[in-house]
Amino acid sequence: MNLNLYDEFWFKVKIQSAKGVYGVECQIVYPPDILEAVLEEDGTVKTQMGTFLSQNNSLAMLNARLEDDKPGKIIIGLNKLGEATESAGAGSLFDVLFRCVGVGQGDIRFAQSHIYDAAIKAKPSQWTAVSVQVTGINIVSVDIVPRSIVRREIGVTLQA
Amino acid sequence: MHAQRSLVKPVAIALWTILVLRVTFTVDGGARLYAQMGNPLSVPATSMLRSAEVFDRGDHVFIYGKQTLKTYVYYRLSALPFREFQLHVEAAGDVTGAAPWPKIGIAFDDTIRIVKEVEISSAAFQTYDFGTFNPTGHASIYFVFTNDYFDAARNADVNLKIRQAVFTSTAASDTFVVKGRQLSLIWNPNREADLAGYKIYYGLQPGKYLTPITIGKDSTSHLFDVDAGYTYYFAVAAYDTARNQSALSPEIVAQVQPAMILANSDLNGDGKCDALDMQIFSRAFGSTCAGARYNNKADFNGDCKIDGQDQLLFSKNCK
Repeated sequence: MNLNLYDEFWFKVKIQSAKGVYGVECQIVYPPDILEAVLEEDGTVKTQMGTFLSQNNSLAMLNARLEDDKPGKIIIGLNKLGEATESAGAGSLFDVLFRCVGVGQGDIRFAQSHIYDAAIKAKPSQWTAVSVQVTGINIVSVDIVPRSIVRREIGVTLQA
Repeated sequence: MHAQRSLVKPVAIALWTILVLRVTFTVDGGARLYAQMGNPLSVPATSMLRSAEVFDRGDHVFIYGKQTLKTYVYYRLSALPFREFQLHVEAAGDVTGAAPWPKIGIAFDDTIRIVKEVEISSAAFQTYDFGTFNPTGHASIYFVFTNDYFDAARNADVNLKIRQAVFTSTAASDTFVVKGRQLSLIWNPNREADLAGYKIYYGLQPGKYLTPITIGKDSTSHLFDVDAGYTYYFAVAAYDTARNQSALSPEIVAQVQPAMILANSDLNGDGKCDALDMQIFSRAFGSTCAGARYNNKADFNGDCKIDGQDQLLFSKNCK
Protein backbone atom coordinates (compact mmCIF):
# COMPACT_ATOMS: atom_id res chain seq x y z
CA MET A 1 0.00 0.00 0.00
CA ASN A 2 1.49 3.31 -1.08
CA LEU A 3 0.71 6.35 1.02
CA ASN A 4 1.83 9.94 1.26
CA LEU A 5 3.28 11.73 4.22
CA TYR A 6 0.50 13.06 6.49
CA ASP A 7 -2.08 10.69 5.05
CA GLU A 8 -4.38 9.08 7.55
CA PHE A 9 -5.83 5.65 6.90
CA TRP A 10 -8.03 3.11 8.58
CA PHE A 11 -6.39 -0.24 9.15
CA LYS A 12 -9.38 -2.53 8.86
CA VAL A 13 -9.25 -5.99 10.39
CA LYS A 14 -11.76 -8.50 9.06
CA ILE A 15 -12.45 -12.13 9.75
CA GLN A 16 -13.66 -14.94 7.53
CA SER A 17 -14.42 -18.66 7.76
CA ALA A 18 -14.97 -18.29 11.47
CA LYS A 19 -17.14 -20.17 13.88
CA GLY A 20 -17.56 -20.08 17.63
CA VAL A 21 -15.95 -16.70 18.18
CA TYR A 22 -16.48 -14.96 21.52
CA GLY A 23 -13.52 -12.63 21.55
CA VAL A 24 -10.27 -11.56 19.99
CA GLU A 25 -7.02 -10.36 21.47
CA CYS A 26 -4.17 -9.06 19.41
CA GLN A 27 -1.20 -6.78 19.29
CA ILE A 28 -0.56 -4.61 16.26
CA VAL A 29 3.11 -3.84 15.80
CA TYR A 30 3.97 -0.95 13.49
CA PRO A 31 7.05 1.13 12.62
CA PRO A 32 6.70 4.28 14.78
CA ASP A 33 9.19 6.21 12.68
CA ILE A 34 6.81 5.93 9.73
CA LEU A 35 3.37 5.56 11.27
CA GLU A 36 1.56 7.01 14.23
CA ALA A 37 -1.50 5.52 15.83
CA VAL A 38 -3.99 8.36 16.14
CA LEU A 39 -5.07 8.82 19.74
CA GLU A 40 -8.23 10.08 21.37
CA GLU A 41 -8.00 12.73 24.07
CA ASP A 42 -8.07 10.11 26.81
CA GLY A 43 -5.03 8.35 25.36
CA THR A 44 -6.87 5.45 23.78
CA VAL A 45 -6.16 4.57 20.17
CA LYS A 46 -8.79 5.83 17.74
CA THR A 47 -10.78 2.81 16.60
CA GLN A 48 -14.06 1.76 15.13
CA MET A 49 -15.85 -1.37 16.28
CA GLY A 50 -16.80 -3.79 13.52
CA THR A 51 -20.06 -5.65 13.24
CA PHE A 52 -18.86 -9.26 13.51
CA LEU A 53 -19.05 -9.58 17.29
CA SER A 54 -22.36 -7.76 17.41
CA GLN A 55 -24.10 -10.66 15.73
CA ASN A 56 -27.16 -11.95 17.60
CA ASN A 57 -27.56 -8.52 19.22
CA SER A 58 -24.54 -9.12 21.41
CA LEU A 59 -22.95 -6.30 23.35
CA ALA A 60 -19.23 -6.06 22.73
CA MET A 61 -16.30 -4.29 24.35
CA LEU A 62 -13.32 -2.88 22.48
CA ASN A 63 -10.16 -1.54 24.10
CA ALA A 64 -7.14 -0.33 22.17
CA ARG A 65 -4.13 1.32 23.76
CA LEU A 66 -0.44 1.71 23.14
CA GLU A 67 1.48 -0.65 25.35
CA ASP A 68 2.54 1.46 28.34
CA ASP A 69 1.65 4.49 26.19
CA LYS A 70 4.75 4.05 24.03
CA PRO A 71 4.46 4.09 20.24
CA GLY A 72 5.07 0.96 18.20
CA LYS A 73 2.68 -1.57 19.67
CA ILE A 74 -1.09 -1.40 20.10
CA ILE A 75 -2.76 -3.79 22.54
CA ILE A 76 -6.28 -4.66 21.47
CA GLY A 77 -9.03 -6.50 23.26
CA LEU A 78 -12.39 -7.14 21.62
CA ASN A 79 -15.02 -9.46 22.95
CA LYS A 80 -18.64 -9.97 23.73
CA LEU A 81 -19.99 -9.29 27.20
CA GLY A 82 -21.40 -11.86 29.58
CA GLU A 83 -23.08 -15.03 28.40
CA ALA A 84 -23.46 -14.22 24.71
CA THR A 85 -23.90 -16.44 21.67
CA GLU A 86 -20.69 -16.94 19.73
CA SER A 87 -20.32 -15.34 16.30
CA ALA A 88 -19.67 -17.19 13.06
CA GLY A 89 -19.01 -16.52 9.40
CA ALA A 90 -17.29 -13.40 8.08
CA GLY A 91 -17.30 -9.74 8.96
CA SER A 92 -15.37 -6.78 10.24
CA LEU A 93 -13.74 -6.93 13.66
CA PHE A 94 -12.36 -3.44 14.16
CA ASP A 95 -10.55 -0.55 12.46
CA VAL A 96 -7.55 1.39 13.73
CA LEU A 97 -6.66 4.88 12.52
CA PHE A 98 -3.05 5.52 11.54
CA ARG A 99 -1.25 8.64 10.33
CA CYS A 100 1.86 8.67 8.15
CA VAL A 101 4.52 10.64 9.98
CA GLY A 102 7.71 9.55 8.24
CA VAL A 103 8.98 8.43 4.88
CA GLY A 104 9.94 4.82 4.39
CA GLN A 105 8.69 1.28 4.19
CA GLY A 106 7.56 -1.03 6.93
CA ASP A 107 5.08 -3.68 7.99
CA ILE A 108 2.02 -3.57 10.13
CA ARG A 109 1.95 -7.01 11.68
CA PHE A 110 0.19 -8.94 14.41
CA ALA A 111 1.73 -10.49 17.50
CA GLN A 112 0.26 -12.51 20.39
CA SER A 113 -2.98 -12.67 18.48
CA HIS A 114 -5.67 -15.18 19.29
CA ILE A 115 -9.33 -15.88 18.74
CA TYR A 116 -11.28 -17.31 21.67
CA ASP A 117 -14.49 -19.21 22.08
CA ALA A 118 -16.94 -18.67 24.94
CA ALA A 119 -14.92 -21.01 27.16
CA ILE A 120 -11.95 -18.68 26.63
CA LYS A 121 -10.07 -21.36 24.78
CA ALA A 122 -7.89 -20.23 21.89
CA LYS A 123 -8.88 -21.34 18.41
CA PRO A 124 -6.45 -21.84 15.51
CA SER A 125 -6.15 -18.71 13.38
CA GLN A 126 -3.92 -17.12 10.78
CA TRP A 127 -3.03 -13.44 10.88
CA THR A 128 -1.57 -11.58 7.93
CA ALA A 129 0.87 -8.67 7.92
CA VAL A 130 0.53 -5.68 5.61
CA SER A 131 3.37 -3.77 4.02
CA VAL A 132 3.18 0.02 3.94
CA GLN A 133 5.21 2.38 1.77
CA VAL A 134 5.10 6.06 2.69
CA THR A 135 6.52 8.49 0.17
CA GLY A 136 7.50 12.04 0.95
CA ILE A 137 6.26 15.33 -0.30
CA ASN A 138 8.94 17.33 -2.04
CA ILE A 139 9.21 20.68 -0.34
CA VAL A 140 10.24 23.15 -3.03
CA SER A 141 9.09 26.27 -1.28
CA VAL A 142 8.11 27.20 2.24
CA ASP A 143 4.73 28.17 0.84
CA ILE A 144 3.88 24.61 -0.10
CA VAL A 145 2.14 22.71 2.68
CA PRO A 146 -0.30 19.82 2.57
CA ARG A 147 -3.70 21.28 1.85
CA SER A 148 -5.78 18.51 3.22
CA ILE A 149 -5.52 15.22 4.98
CA VAL A 150 -6.47 12.29 2.83
CA ARG A 151 -8.02 9.38 4.59
CA ARG A 152 -7.54 6.02 3.02
CA GLU A 153 -8.34 2.48 3.98
CA ILE A 154 -6.16 -0.58 4.26
CA GLY A 155 -7.87 -3.87 4.78
CA VAL A 156 -6.53 -7.07 6.25
CA THR A 157 -8.53 -10.24 6.47
CA LEU A 158 -8.06 -12.75 9.20
CA GLN A 159 -8.53 -16.42 8.37
CA ALA A 160 -10.13 -18.35 11.20
CA MET B 1 10.06 -43.12 18.95
CA HIS B 2 13.08 -44.15 16.96
CA ALA B 3 15.15 -41.75 14.97
CA GLN B 4 16.62 -42.51 11.59
CA ARG B 5 20.10 -43.93 11.87
CA SER B 6 22.82 -44.29 9.34
CA LEU B 7 24.95 -47.41 9.16
CA VAL B 8 27.87 -45.44 7.76
CA LYS B 9 28.33 -43.14 10.73
CA PRO B 10 27.74 -45.13 13.88
CA VAL B 11 30.29 -43.23 15.96
CA ALA B 12 28.83 -39.84 15.30
CA ILE B 13 25.33 -41.04 16.00
CA ALA B 14 26.40 -42.57 19.25
CA LEU B 15 27.88 -39.26 20.33
CA TRP B 16 24.69 -37.44 19.49
CA THR B 17 22.63 -39.39 21.92
CA ILE B 18 24.09 -37.19 24.68
CA LEU B 19 21.93 -34.34 23.50
CA VAL B 20 20.20 -32.86 26.48
CA LEU B 21 17.07 -30.81 26.25
CA ARG B 22 16.34 -28.04 28.65
CA VAL B 23 13.33 -25.84 28.72
CA THR B 24 12.54 -22.47 30.14
CA PHE B 25 9.16 -20.89 30.48
CA THR B 26 8.40 -17.25 30.55
CA VAL B 27 6.25 -16.56 33.55
CA ASP B 28 5.25 -13.53 35.59
CA GLY B 29 6.97 -10.34 34.67
CA GLY B 30 9.61 -11.94 32.53
CA ALA B 31 10.86 -14.27 35.25
CA ARG B 32 11.96 -17.50 33.71
CA LEU B 33 11.14 -21.01 34.72
CA TYR B 34 14.23 -23.02 34.07
CA ALA B 35 14.50 -26.72 33.68
CA GLN B 36 16.94 -29.28 32.42
CA MET B 37 16.40 -32.85 31.40
CA GLY B 38 18.55 -35.69 32.53
CA ASN B 39 21.34 -33.96 34.41
CA PRO B 40 21.47 -32.35 37.82
CA LEU B 41 20.96 -28.62 37.69
CA SER B 42 23.48 -26.52 39.61
CA VAL B 43 22.41 -22.98 40.33
CA PRO B 44 25.07 -20.64 41.73
CA ALA B 45 23.71 -18.48 44.50
CA THR B 46 25.16 -15.40 42.84
CA SER B 47 22.82 -15.88 39.89
CA MET B 48 19.65 -15.94 41.99
CA LEU B 49 17.31 -13.09 42.71
CA ARG B 50 17.93 -11.76 46.16
CA SER B 51 16.30 -9.62 48.77
CA ALA B 52 17.96 -6.84 50.71
CA GLU B 53 20.69 -7.75 53.17
CA VAL B 54 22.17 -10.27 50.75
CA PHE B 55 25.41 -9.46 49.00
CA ASP B 56 27.70 -11.05 46.44
CA ARG B 57 31.00 -12.24 47.81
CA GLY B 58 32.95 -13.81 44.96
CA ASP B 59 31.52 -17.26 44.31
CA HIS B 60 28.89 -17.11 47.02
CA VAL B 61 26.33 -14.83 48.58
CA PHE B 62 26.67 -13.51 52.06
CA ILE B 63 23.66 -12.99 54.29
CA TYR B 64 24.34 -10.43 56.96
CA GLY B 65 23.01 -11.85 60.16
CA LYS B 66 22.93 -8.98 62.59
CA GLN B 67 19.29 -8.01 62.77
CA THR B 68 17.57 -6.34 65.67
CA LEU B 69 14.29 -8.13 65.13
CA LYS B 70 13.38 -11.58 64.03
CA THR B 71 13.55 -11.47 60.32
CA TYR B 72 13.48 -13.62 57.26
CA VAL B 73 16.06 -12.89 54.69
CA TYR B 74 15.18 -14.71 51.55
CA TYR B 75 15.98 -14.88 47.94
CA ARG B 76 14.21 -16.52 45.14
CA LEU B 77 15.17 -18.85 42.36
CA SER B 78 13.57 -17.90 39.11
CA ALA B 79 12.02 -21.33 38.78
CA LEU B 80 11.51 -24.80 40.05
CA PRO B 81 13.83 -26.98 38.01
CA PHE B 82 12.03 -30.33 38.04
CA ARG B 83 8.65 -31.75 38.80
CA GLU B 84 10.19 -33.89 41.51
CA PHE B 85 13.69 -33.31 42.73
CA GLN B 86 16.25 -33.81 45.44
CA LEU B 87 17.91 -30.66 46.71
CA HIS B 88 21.39 -30.16 48.11
CA VAL B 89 22.68 -26.77 49.20
CA GLU B 90 26.31 -25.89 49.64
CA ALA B 91 26.50 -23.54 52.59
CA ALA B 92 28.60 -22.34 55.49
CA GLY B 93 27.85 -20.49 58.70
CA ASP B 94 30.17 -17.66 59.59
CA VAL B 95 29.42 -18.39 63.20
CA THR B 96 30.72 -16.76 66.32
CA GLY B 97 30.03 -18.55 69.56
CA ALA B 98 28.33 -21.88 70.12
CA ALA B 99 25.05 -23.40 69.00
CA PRO B 100 22.22 -22.74 68.25
CA TRP B 101 23.36 -22.40 64.69
CA PRO B 102 21.63 -20.45 61.94
CA LYS B 103 19.21 -22.33 59.74
CA ILE B 104 18.24 -22.30 56.11
CA GLY B 105 14.61 -23.09 55.40
CA ILE B 106 12.96 -23.98 52.11
CA ALA B 107 9.64 -22.53 50.98
CA PHE B 108 7.83 -22.90 47.69
CA ASP B 109 5.54 -19.93 47.42
CA ASP B 110 5.24 -16.31 48.39
CA THR B 111 3.83 -17.07 51.81
CA ILE B 112 7.33 -18.23 52.77
CA ARG B 113 5.87 -21.19 54.62
CA ILE B 114 8.94 -23.24 55.48
CA VAL B 115 8.57 -26.89 54.55
CA LYS B 116 12.07 -28.01 55.51
CA GLU B 117 14.77 -26.47 57.65
CA VAL B 118 18.43 -27.41 57.99
CA GLU B 119 20.90 -26.19 60.60
CA ILE B 120 24.15 -24.85 59.19
CA SER B 121 26.73 -25.84 61.77
CA SER B 122 30.07 -25.52 60.02
CA ALA B 123 32.18 -22.49 59.23
CA ALA B 124 33.51 -24.36 56.18
CA PHE B 125 31.37 -24.97 53.10
CA GLN B 126 29.53 -28.26 53.32
CA THR B 127 26.73 -29.84 51.33
CA TYR B 128 23.45 -30.09 53.19
CA ASP B 129 20.73 -32.46 52.03
CA PHE B 130 17.23 -31.02 52.10
CA GLY B 131 15.58 -34.21 50.89
CA THR B 132 13.13 -34.79 48.05
CA PHE B 133 10.37 -32.42 47.00
CA ASN B 134 7.46 -32.57 44.62
CA PRO B 135 6.16 -29.00 44.63
CA THR B 136 4.14 -29.12 41.41
CA GLY B 137 2.22 -25.98 40.66
CA HIS B 138 4.56 -23.46 42.22
CA ALA B 139 6.89 -21.26 40.28
CA SER B 140 9.26 -20.08 42.98
CA ILE B 141 11.54 -21.44 45.62
CA TYR B 142 12.89 -19.49 48.53
CA PHE B 143 15.82 -20.08 50.81
CA VAL B 144 14.88 -18.48 54.08
CA PHE B 145 17.45 -17.48 56.62
CA THR B 146 16.13 -17.16 60.12
CA ASN B 147 18.05 -15.39 62.84
CA ASP B 148 16.07 -14.61 65.94
CA TYR B 149 17.68 -11.92 68.01
CA PHE B 150 14.97 -12.02 70.60
CA ASP B 151 16.90 -15.06 71.71
CA ALA B 152 19.81 -13.71 73.75
CA ALA B 153 21.93 -16.74 73.00
CA ARG B 154 21.86 -15.75 69.36
CA ASN B 155 22.57 -12.11 69.91
CA ALA B 156 25.69 -12.28 67.83
CA ASP B 157 26.65 -12.07 64.22
CA VAL B 158 25.81 -15.43 62.67
CA ASN B 159 26.28 -14.62 59.03
CA LEU B 160 25.54 -17.26 56.47
CA LYS B 161 27.15 -18.09 53.14
CA ILE B 162 25.49 -19.99 50.33
CA ARG B 163 27.47 -21.07 47.31
CA GLN B 164 25.06 -23.07 45.18
CA ALA B 165 21.97 -25.23 45.11
CA VAL B 166 21.94 -28.52 43.20
CA PHE B 167 18.68 -29.98 41.98
CA THR B 168 18.56 -33.58 40.85
CA SER B 169 15.48 -34.93 39.16
CA THR B 170 14.02 -37.97 40.84
CA ALA B 171 11.06 -38.34 38.48
CA ALA B 172 10.98 -40.86 35.65
CA SER B 173 9.92 -38.10 33.26
CA ASP B 174 9.44 -34.41 33.71
CA THR B 175 6.23 -32.48 33.41
CA PHE B 176 6.20 -28.76 33.95
CA VAL B 177 3.09 -26.92 34.96
CA VAL B 178 3.44 -23.41 33.64
CA LYS B 179 1.47 -20.30 33.01
CA GLY B 180 2.34 -17.62 30.55
CA ARG B 181 2.22 -17.16 26.84
CA GLN B 182 5.61 -18.17 25.56
CA LEU B 183 7.92 -21.05 26.14
CA SER B 184 11.60 -21.35 25.31
CA LEU B 185 13.23 -24.64 24.50
CA ILE B 186 16.95 -24.65 25.14
CA TRP B 187 19.27 -27.55 24.46
CA ASN B 188 22.92 -28.26 24.94
CA PRO B 189 24.84 -27.76 21.69
CA ASN B 190 26.43 -30.60 19.78
CA ARG B 191 30.12 -30.29 18.93
CA GLU B 192 30.50 -32.51 15.85
CA ALA B 193 32.31 -30.86 12.92
CA ASP B 194 29.65 -31.98 10.43
CA LEU B 195 26.72 -30.82 12.54
CA ALA B 196 24.10 -29.21 10.30
CA GLY B 197 21.39 -28.28 12.78
CA TYR B 198 18.57 -29.42 14.99
CA LYS B 199 14.98 -30.50 14.61
CA ILE B 200 12.41 -29.68 17.21
CA TYR B 201 9.55 -32.11 17.49
CA TYR B 202 6.38 -30.96 19.18
CA GLY B 203 2.81 -32.08 19.54
CA LEU B 204 -0.22 -32.26 21.74
CA GLN B 205 0.07 -35.99 22.44
CA PRO B 206 3.01 -37.91 23.91
CA GLY B 207 5.28 -39.32 21.22
CA LYS B 208 3.08 -38.01 18.40
CA TYR B 209 4.74 -35.05 16.83
CA LEU B 210 3.83 -32.65 14.04
CA THR B 211 6.25 -31.74 11.26
CA PRO B 212 9.47 -30.82 13.06
CA ILE B 213 10.87 -27.33 13.05
CA THR B 214 14.33 -27.22 11.51
CA ILE B 215 16.85 -24.98 13.25
CA GLY B 216 20.35 -24.06 12.09
CA LYS B 217 23.40 -25.35 13.87
CA ASP B 218 24.19 -21.99 15.46
CA SER B 219 21.01 -21.91 17.50
CA THR B 220 20.43 -23.78 20.72
CA SER B 221 17.02 -22.41 21.57
CA HIS B 222 13.60 -21.79 20.10
CA LEU B 223 10.72 -19.67 21.31
CA PHE B 224 7.16 -20.98 21.11
CA ASP B 225 3.84 -19.24 21.49
CA VAL B 226 1.64 -21.48 23.60
CA ASP B 227 -2.04 -21.42 24.39
CA ALA B 228 -3.52 -21.69 27.84
CA GLY B 229 -5.13 -24.97 28.75
CA TYR B 230 -3.10 -27.19 26.42
CA THR B 231 -0.36 -29.71 27.13
CA TYR B 232 2.65 -29.68 24.81
CA TYR B 233 5.17 -32.45 24.24
CA PHE B 234 8.67 -31.70 22.98
CA ALA B 235 11.81 -33.51 21.89
CA VAL B 236 14.89 -32.41 19.97
CA ALA B 237 17.23 -34.23 17.58
CA ALA B 238 20.43 -33.18 15.86
CA TYR B 239 21.27 -33.88 12.20
CA ASP B 240 24.46 -33.71 10.19
CA THR B 241 25.38 -32.52 6.72
CA ALA B 242 24.57 -35.99 5.32
CA ARG B 243 21.08 -35.69 6.85
CA ASN B 244 21.77 -38.39 9.43
CA GLN B 245 19.69 -37.73 12.47
CA SER B 246 20.38 -38.46 16.11
CA ALA B 247 18.02 -40.15 18.48
CA LEU B 248 15.43 -37.88 20.01
CA SER B 249 16.13 -36.31 23.36
CA PRO B 250 13.93 -37.43 26.24
CA GLU B 251 10.48 -35.99 25.89
CA ILE B 252 9.47 -33.12 28.09
CA VAL B 253 5.92 -32.08 28.82
CA ALA B 254 4.63 -28.58 29.44
CA GLN B 255 1.14 -28.18 30.86
CA VAL B 256 0.07 -24.63 30.25
CA GLN B 257 -2.36 -23.62 32.94
CA PRO B 258 -5.83 -22.64 31.81
CA ALA B 259 -6.66 -19.00 31.95
CA MET B 260 -8.06 -18.01 35.30
CA ILE B 261 -11.82 -18.15 34.83
CA LEU B 262 -12.85 -17.10 38.32
CA ALA B 263 -11.84 -13.49 37.87
CA ASN B 264 -13.26 -10.96 40.28
CA SER B 265 -14.53 -8.29 37.93
CA ASP B 266 -15.73 -6.06 40.76
CA LEU B 267 -12.65 -3.89 40.55
CA ASN B 268 -13.90 -1.06 42.77
CA GLY B 269 -15.22 -3.41 45.44
CA ASP B 270 -18.76 -2.06 45.50
CA GLY B 271 -20.31 -5.51 45.25
CA LYS B 272 -21.21 -5.40 41.59
CA CYS B 273 -19.57 -5.26 38.18
CA ASP B 274 -20.79 -2.31 36.18
CA ALA B 275 -19.67 0.60 34.01
CA LEU B 276 -17.40 1.94 36.73
CA ASP B 277 -15.47 -1.32 36.77
CA MET B 278 -15.25 -1.18 32.99
CA GLN B 279 -13.73 2.29 33.26
CA ILE B 280 -11.18 1.05 35.77
CA PHE B 281 -10.32 -1.88 33.54
CA SER B 282 -10.08 0.24 30.41
CA ARG B 283 -7.80 2.72 32.15
CA ALA B 284 -5.36 -0.08 32.99
CA PHE B 285 -5.70 -1.83 29.63
CA GLY B 286 -2.51 -2.06 27.58
CA SER B 287 -0.18 -1.58 30.54
CA THR B 288 2.53 -3.83 31.91
CA CYS B 289 4.01 -4.16 35.38
CA ALA B 290 6.52 -1.49 34.39
CA GLY B 291 3.87 1.00 33.33
CA ALA B 292 2.25 3.77 35.33
CA ARG B 293 -1.30 2.64 34.50
CA TYR B 294 -0.81 -0.96 35.67
CA ASN B 295 -3.45 -2.22 38.09
CA ASN B 296 -2.81 -5.71 39.41
CA LYS B 297 -6.52 -6.22 40.12
CA ALA B 298 -7.12 -6.11 36.37
CA ASP B 299 -4.33 -8.57 35.57
CA PHE B 300 -6.51 -11.62 35.96
CA ASN B 301 -4.13 -14.15 34.46
CA GLY B 302 -1.18 -12.74 36.38
CA ASP B 303 1.14 -12.42 33.40
CA CYS B 304 2.18 -8.87 34.20
CA LYS B 305 0.31 -7.52 31.17
CA ILE B 306 -3.25 -6.28 30.96
CA ASP B 307 -4.36 -7.30 27.53
CA GLY B 308 -7.12 -8.95 25.55
CA GLN B 309 -7.05 -12.14 27.55
CA ASP B 310 -7.63 -10.22 30.77
CA GLN B 311 -10.44 -8.37 29.04
CA LEU B 312 -12.05 -11.68 28.13
CA LEU B 313 -11.84 -12.85 31.73
CA PHE B 314 -13.18 -9.54 32.98
CA SER B 315 -16.08 -9.55 30.55
CA LYS B 316 -16.97 -13.16 31.15
CA ASN B 317 -17.39 -12.55 34.84
CA CYS B 318 -18.98 -9.12 34.71
CA LYS B 319 -22.64 -9.98 34.99
